[in-house]
Amino acid sequence: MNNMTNSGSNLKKLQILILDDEPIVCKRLKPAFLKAGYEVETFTDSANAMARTLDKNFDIVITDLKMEGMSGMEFLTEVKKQSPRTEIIVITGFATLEASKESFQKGVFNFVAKPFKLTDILEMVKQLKNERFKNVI
Amino acid sequence: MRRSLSIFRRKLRQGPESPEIIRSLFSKFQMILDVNTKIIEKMVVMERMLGGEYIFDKAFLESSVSEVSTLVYQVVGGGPQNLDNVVSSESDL
Repeated sequence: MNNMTNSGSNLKKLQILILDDEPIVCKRLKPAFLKAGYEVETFTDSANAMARTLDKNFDIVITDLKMEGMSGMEFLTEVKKQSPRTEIIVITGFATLEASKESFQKGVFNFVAKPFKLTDILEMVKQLKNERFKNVI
Repeated sequence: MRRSLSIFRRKLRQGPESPEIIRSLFSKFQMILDVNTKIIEKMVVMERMLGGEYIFDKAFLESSVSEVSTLVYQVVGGGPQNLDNVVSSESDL
């Protein structure tokens, strides 16, 4: 289990959950999003991430697809079922047309193939915040 | 590549040779250069990804290492006879 929780208590901040079974991805993304002013929780295990989403509704979920145990696709399906307002961004090293189609059918905001530019995903979240979460900082 | 170059030089030293053999050797030599260029291009991409601007995962590392290894093997160990396949199949790299 690897749960790195930001200790901020300002609930008005945009809440982001990042799930990727490779710790290096979480370690690179978390400081970048924190610096941009968001609240971030990262998980390397889909079961723990799933448990956390039962306790807390996140504004944005960024998830990998190919993982041990519950796959990213199952995870995002469950998240959407629990909280339809949560926006999801898929990040994957195994980007296929089928996976992308299935993700969009399930309502994800965007599907990003790795490697990707850090600035691109930050820009994507900023765009999402401006479009869908105008009431948060 | 060194092996093909030495074969090429040896053939040239041996005096008059049929134009077909010379053409074939030169063609192999060019193919080695083509594969070598593809290796360098692949390594440039890898270097850019490692520069800190990009987020990548193990899948990217594995596929990059595998592609470069295959190409390098074709140049140094696989022999020029295998290059025909490599050049045609890797043309999208």
